Amino acid sequence: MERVIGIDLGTTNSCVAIVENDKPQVIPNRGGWATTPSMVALTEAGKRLVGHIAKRQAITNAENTVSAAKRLIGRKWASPQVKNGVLTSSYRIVEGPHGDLRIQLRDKQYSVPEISAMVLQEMKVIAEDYLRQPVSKAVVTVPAYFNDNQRQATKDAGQIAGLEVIRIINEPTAAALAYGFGKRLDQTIAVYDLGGGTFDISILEIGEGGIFKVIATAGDTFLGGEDFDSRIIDWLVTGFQAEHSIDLRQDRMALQRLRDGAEKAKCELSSVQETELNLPFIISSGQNEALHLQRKLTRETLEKLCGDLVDRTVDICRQTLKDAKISTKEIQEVVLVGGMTRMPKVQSAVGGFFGREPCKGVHPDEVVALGAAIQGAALVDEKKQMILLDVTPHALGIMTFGSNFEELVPQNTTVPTSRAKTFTTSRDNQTAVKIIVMQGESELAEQNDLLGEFILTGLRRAAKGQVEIEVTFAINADGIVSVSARDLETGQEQSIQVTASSGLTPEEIVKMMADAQDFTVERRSTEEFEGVKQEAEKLIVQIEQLLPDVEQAVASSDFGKDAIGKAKAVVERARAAIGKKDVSAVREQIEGLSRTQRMFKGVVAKAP
Amino acid sequence: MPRTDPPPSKKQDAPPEGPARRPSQNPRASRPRLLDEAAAQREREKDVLEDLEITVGETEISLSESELAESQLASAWTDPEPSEHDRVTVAPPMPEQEYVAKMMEELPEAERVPLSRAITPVPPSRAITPARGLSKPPFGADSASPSRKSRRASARPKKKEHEAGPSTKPRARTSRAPVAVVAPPPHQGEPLTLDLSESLLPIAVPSTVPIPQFGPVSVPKFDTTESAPPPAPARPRATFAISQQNSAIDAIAATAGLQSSDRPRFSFAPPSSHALERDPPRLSFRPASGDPLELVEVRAQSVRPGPAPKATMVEVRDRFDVGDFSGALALVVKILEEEPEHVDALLYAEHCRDVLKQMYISNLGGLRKVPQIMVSPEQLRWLALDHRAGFLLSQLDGHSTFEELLDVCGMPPFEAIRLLVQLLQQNVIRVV
Repeated sequence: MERVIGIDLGTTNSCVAIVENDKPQVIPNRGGWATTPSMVALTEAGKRLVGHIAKRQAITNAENTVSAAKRLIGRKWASPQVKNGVLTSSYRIVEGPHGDLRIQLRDKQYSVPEISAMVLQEMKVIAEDYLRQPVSKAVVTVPAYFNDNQRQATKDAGQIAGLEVIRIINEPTAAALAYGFGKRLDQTIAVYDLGGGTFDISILEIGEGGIFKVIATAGDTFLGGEDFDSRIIDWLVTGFQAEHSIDLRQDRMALQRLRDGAEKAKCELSSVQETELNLPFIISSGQNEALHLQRKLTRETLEKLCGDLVDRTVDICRQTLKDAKISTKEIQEVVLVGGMTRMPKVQSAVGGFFGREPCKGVHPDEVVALGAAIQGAALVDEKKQMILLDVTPHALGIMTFGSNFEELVPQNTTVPTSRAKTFTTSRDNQTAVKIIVMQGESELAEQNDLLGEFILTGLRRAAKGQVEIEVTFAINADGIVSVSARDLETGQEQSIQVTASSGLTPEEIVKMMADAQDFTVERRSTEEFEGVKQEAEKLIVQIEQLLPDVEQAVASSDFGKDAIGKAKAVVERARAAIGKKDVSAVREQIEGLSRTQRMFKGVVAKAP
Repeated sequence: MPRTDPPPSKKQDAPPEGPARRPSQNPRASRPRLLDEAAAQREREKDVLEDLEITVGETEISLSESELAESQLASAWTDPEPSEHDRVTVAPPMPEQEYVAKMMEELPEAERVPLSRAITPVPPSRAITPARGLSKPPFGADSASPSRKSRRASARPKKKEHEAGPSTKPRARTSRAPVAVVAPPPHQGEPLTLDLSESLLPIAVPSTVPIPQFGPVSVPKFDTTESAPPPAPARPRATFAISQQNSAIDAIAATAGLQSSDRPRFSFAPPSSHALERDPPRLSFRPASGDPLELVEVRAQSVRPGPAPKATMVEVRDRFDVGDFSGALALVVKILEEEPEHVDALLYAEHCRDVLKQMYISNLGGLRKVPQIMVSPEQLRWLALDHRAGFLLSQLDGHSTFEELLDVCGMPPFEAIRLLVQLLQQNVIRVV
């Protein structure tokens, strides 16, 4: 049975998990960390960096490091989020060929799914290294508020990375899955997700039989752990400036170290009351000496610095419950998700608001990926009893006269479904109507997302309001939305099939897949070559160390001299193969080198 | 050269460190009686020292070998090996006026060196102020230390030869009149050491020639300067005529096996008699501004080199040809500062960087190796590093390879590799 991995593709960090022996577990990356930063960078030499290594140079190479690509995925160039991203991102965002957007890294433009694919590819490699077998299927999580285009773009990213995304599930749903794993639950829970860059609060109903339903979700896409880090950095910079009259922000290296140090201190203060930030030689004083930064930060100070950020999350929770008309008393459990929820101040604020201690039974960094892995295992194993219903993440409807939005399919409607509504003409003698299909929750059409449009013609001439047109929305099991409009009097009908689009054409996706595949092959071959090269070089060193003793031992023997000559030839051939970077040739020579090394060892051991 | 010897009391209170002060090497360690005497003497001197206000951080006293051997002070010293810091000077045993007059008589007019400042001559022995915190009892006192004498004598075989008979080796002052400066005791095995005053060599010695070891200037402090009569213009004790300086250099060069063309020459013109009349050099019995440190500073300024000569491509090529790539690169960088478009310089710079980069990578053992920090964060603060090295160190996590480090550091690879090699050579990092 093929293994399916679960991937939490986060804004700042990503995580991959798998179910092994009926138990979900996270797969650590090569550095041993459970999570990998969702960052991609391109070095000056054109080398691609993903994960921790990209994060470590994020400030010194800010123009060519993409972070939080998730905020841009599946969005149109004209969207306000992209406009905001153009202003706030350190990397360059440019308009794409299909009204989408591209990211400029050095001399090449990348689509956002392509960037996300690099992160997904890294997660795939981590899983393959762990499982020692190829992985091709995955369940990927997305925020509950992602629209169809964003979900499709995430699927495309998976495809580019060489993964078949068999299911996209909502992050709070995944968290609830992990929380409810092995339990029989029938309750309403709140999932408080404070990650590195975003905050989400979701209210879910978990029904008996494994039905998970998102009742309400809200959040702030620009509120997360990075804001907490920034507060610490501000505090450090201000203190240093007061002492030395030097603004550390002006130096990229110093700022990179400050960010790393601030994040480390923040994490430490979740378990201790006080920590010391020690950054020696942080900047040059300009007088041929380097200055050190050394400050103690207490938990109390950190809570003062970041108190308003925590309050903002609580305010969003309050508003969400109010909008969903749910009281805190109805919430039976609070699940904490995201690394920032380790902060004691956050836990106490959440506990205070909901009137109960948050659940600490799940790992905040891993819970979403674990839920995705559980879902993945359930999808390929029929024995696993779990019903996870797909729902529409947002309401679907059409734009009506006055730029209003008329909802036909409410949010969180279980698919497949079909809904119809009758409309009339808005002008006298109107012979055609334009049906504009939209997705969203706002009553104002312009605030929702456009999915598609079509025109129904051949209407009979009549006064306004006399011609009736029935509009039907049908969503099949694959999530494909069909919209039709029919003149009830004449029977004239027009329809459109709305498929979510990431902004990439199929040809583009194929080409990107090929590029990603080439990169993977090259990476694998480089790693393979390095492995055999190290092995061969180790043997060469051993042979050369033994050579003088062997020469001495066989000095009087012609046969021995001949053997030494052959051994030297083997070493030379191995060196030549290494020089040519020919993996198979090096591997062939390793055998000869091993034989020579064994023979030399034997000669030396027998020598008097 | 200015010295920064520790205060005397510290030397006596705390056991000195370093090979020159290792008690285990003391040849007199098997003589408890003498050691006891020495210890007692030290105690007595300590008492004296506590009453003295010692402000002679840069002052040296000259002592002749025989005087030194007879002095009580010598018995107090327990240095097993001579050190260059042990050199002492002392004035000749004659009145100041007589000494000055004698000195001036012996100096031909043509060979006089104009004095840019007043230099204090060596005072009579009664006015000795101890240098480096050592209180010297009057000469001729008892408890001279034969062991000390023998030690110093053994450490200076040349001096013994000279005392035994005429030396075949060239000596700097053999033909001079009683110059009070005693050549400092050279280290064993060294051919020759001259106590030339650097202040009296107002020209730069070419760097390609070994520079002779110059002893420190003797600037004793006098208690009787107020009553001393205005002295006649006198030559300082360590001054050599130009011909003598050249002969001294010849001696050094001969010892070092240098060709005559490579030897430095002192060729400055002596001041005319007219100039000397107009502004006669004055000899003062006190330091120029009452502070010996200031004198040293003035001298240091007088020999400060002028602006560096402009680098030329010829020099660059020469250095490149002999394999001095870092030197060639330094020169090329200077040239490019003035002429950023200099094609040859750009090519040489690129080539030097390439070669140096390979050398540095070789020093690191390859870019696939993993560096680790060897010093604790507390120790790290005390190293002389700059902020770039500090940044590189901050990026070391014990797992990342040099290659990854170059990817993340955001610095030009050549610069980063060079810094890493420096850190490796300073044992700040190691390669695993």
